[in-house]
Amino acid sequence: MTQPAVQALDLTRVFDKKVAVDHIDLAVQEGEFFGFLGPNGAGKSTTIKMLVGLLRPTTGKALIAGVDIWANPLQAKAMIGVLPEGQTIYERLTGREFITFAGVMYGLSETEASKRTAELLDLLDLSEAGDKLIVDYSQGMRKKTGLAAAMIHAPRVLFLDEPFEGVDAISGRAIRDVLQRLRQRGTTIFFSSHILEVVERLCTRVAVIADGRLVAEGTIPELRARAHTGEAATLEEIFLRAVGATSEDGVPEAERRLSWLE
Amino acid sequence: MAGMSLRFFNALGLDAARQRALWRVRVKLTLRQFSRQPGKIVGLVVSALFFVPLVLGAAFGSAIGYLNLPQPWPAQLLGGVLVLLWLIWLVAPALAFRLNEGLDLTRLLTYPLPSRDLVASTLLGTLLDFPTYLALPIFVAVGVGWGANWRWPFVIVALLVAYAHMVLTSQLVLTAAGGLLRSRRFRDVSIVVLSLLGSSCYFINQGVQVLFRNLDTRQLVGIRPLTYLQWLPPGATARAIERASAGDWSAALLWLLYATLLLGGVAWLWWRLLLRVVTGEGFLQAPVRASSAPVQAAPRRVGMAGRHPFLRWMPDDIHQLFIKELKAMWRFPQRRIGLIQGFLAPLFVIVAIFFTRGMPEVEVTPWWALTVMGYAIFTMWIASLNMLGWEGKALPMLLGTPIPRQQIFLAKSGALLLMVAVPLTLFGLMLTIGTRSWFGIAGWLAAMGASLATMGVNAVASVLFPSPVNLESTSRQNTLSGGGCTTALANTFLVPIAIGLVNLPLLAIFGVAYWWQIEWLVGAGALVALLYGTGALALGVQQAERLMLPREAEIIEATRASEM
Repeated sequence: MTQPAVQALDLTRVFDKKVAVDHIDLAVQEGEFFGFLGPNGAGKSTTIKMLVGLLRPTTGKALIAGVDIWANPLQAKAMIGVLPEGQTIYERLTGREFITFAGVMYGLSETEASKRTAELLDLLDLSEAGDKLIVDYSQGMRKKTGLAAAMIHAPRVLFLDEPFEGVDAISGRAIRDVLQRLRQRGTTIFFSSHILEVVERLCTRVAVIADGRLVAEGTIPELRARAHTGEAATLEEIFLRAVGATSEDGVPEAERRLSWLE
Repeated sequence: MAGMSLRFFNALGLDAARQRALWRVRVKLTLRQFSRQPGKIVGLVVSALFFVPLVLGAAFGSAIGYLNLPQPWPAQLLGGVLVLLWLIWLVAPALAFRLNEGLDLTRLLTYPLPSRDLVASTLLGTLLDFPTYLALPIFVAVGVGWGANWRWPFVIVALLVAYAHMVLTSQLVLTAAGGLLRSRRFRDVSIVVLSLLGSSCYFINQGVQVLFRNLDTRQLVGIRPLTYLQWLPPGATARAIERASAGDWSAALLWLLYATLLLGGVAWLWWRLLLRVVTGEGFLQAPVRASSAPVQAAPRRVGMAGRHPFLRWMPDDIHQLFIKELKAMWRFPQRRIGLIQGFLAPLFVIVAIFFTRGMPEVEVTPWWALTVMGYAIFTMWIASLNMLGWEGKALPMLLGTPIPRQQIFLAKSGALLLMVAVPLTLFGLMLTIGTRSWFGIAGWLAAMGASLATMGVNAVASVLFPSPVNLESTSRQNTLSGGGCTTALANTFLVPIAIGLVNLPLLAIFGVAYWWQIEWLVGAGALVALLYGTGALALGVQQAERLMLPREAEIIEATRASEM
């Protein structure tokens, strides 16, 4: 049996006294488009950071294709591409310079990285802006640049933390198309997002995290069945039920508490 | 009490409830900046220790002047004092010092608040600012000097007008600067220019000395500055006070009216500007031109063909890191300052040697060339300190790649060496030409060796003591945004000691050569220094990688700039 592309084993992270991620176990198989959902502050970004080797777990292990990212960081990092939360890119490089730079850092030759950069800029509709400094880019352009840098070396696993946050519809569409193309060629995508409609459309399997714990995991029909929400239920309804934001009768908690909101 | 304040605000056409709410928010924000950042209390106490005696001395001196100087000098002094205060309030925001923090008015513009309420709350809010209390003794001195014989109510009103001018003009400058700061290019240039102003103090000092040398003090006696200053807002209030003191009440009231009208104009201008800046119209910015044709991207050279011939020997990864580092040095204004200052340093030395008069003659011997090593060690300590922290927010991206970590340090060292090599080479050339001795070349080689050794130490130190660098800061002071007491102590004391120890063998060789005047040892020592420095750097880089890999997550955490 092949190793899972991504595996979290008893992954835990404690900040002072706050347990941000609480003994998470999950496995993502090769070629899956895996959606990682949760409310704000649930522990999504913390989990992703631990999986990609940017935040040390308090306990537990993170494996990429069977390689422990904390024991063999360089070997594991060569197999992944990461679009982290926030803008962790060199803002004073141009988009073209940054994507080429990232390619070479992932082991491509300069010639190959330059060639792929030109193609990626074209694909993501960034060719015209490619020679401007990233600091002058819009949020959508930054996300697309970050995505291009994360995928330039054709990684086995792509981690994307909120790739659609602050992105307009046109850029969102371009990113979605690229992700679908990657999925078709067998790239494993580990993806967190608040935009449930996109998750529902793209993901083959999802996991829901709340208060640092995994509260649901499976394909959308599986989750629907488990949540007893009916066959027509959207991912949003399943999600709200899973994280406890909706009561049994389906009335949102906020509405129940505001007496003056008639 | 509440009823009184209600009547007071209503009489001025202001909304008392809103004023109270704004005041409360202001008090809370003021107190919380101290409770969240206790270091600010220390800063405040240190500032108070420095400024309070200064201000009290100025207030005391000016009061004595108002009461005892012969005519017409008391009025000239009053005009000078009020205009100077106004200028300080005017210039400080442009130099990135906010004297009156105020509430961020741009955030308040989303609410249905009338402009008069916002202006009034801005003025009232300054009562919570430390600089206001620094201005207070100066105003009290004016009261003491000019408030006798029941003129004090008029003096108080005039001073209130002068104070309102200070605050509102300061806000006007701040808003204009804010509008200009929306342009990233302007922001970058202003950070560099303002920081370099500090470095140019030496030149300013030289200029002032020349000016005073040629000044005939008898010319000063006939000058009446208030004649000109009276047309400025605070000068007008000074003239009003002076006229009232002379019993010329109609002229006094006219001058006060003129100052008050100017105040209305400043308030109106500030308000219009604030609205322009907030609504995105900007200030002094050229309108965006619609392009008639789509911009065609220039064809790019790819691969080795795009490389500088001198860099073709570099492996691809080191070349990319090296170029990225050089670009960062130039494109981040905070780093560009260091680069420019490094280039200016030899210039300062030339100016010091050729233009300083009245200094005892010092014979520049060939042995002076060895001092370049000291300059190199100091410059490289500063330039290469916290190498990883200078990656800023992009460090997680870099450490998220499988690039061998030695390459990162080697590329950074190469770029830093190139940066420091320019002033070192200038120094070496100056000394070689100036002393007509090969010692200049030897000193240059020794300096390069010491630079390499220093970078070796700093490579390890940057892994052991990383600290955050805020590359988005709009001022040089705020760029280094913390990192903890241990890190600061280590970088300030431990690292320089380690650098000193590592460079000790080189210093010993040249010390022996100088003490016993062994010239051949200087030449041999220079070559040894180069080899020793290369070895020390290689060892340092190797150790840095070994130490770094197991603690990259902690380094990322330590270099994460706190959200300000």
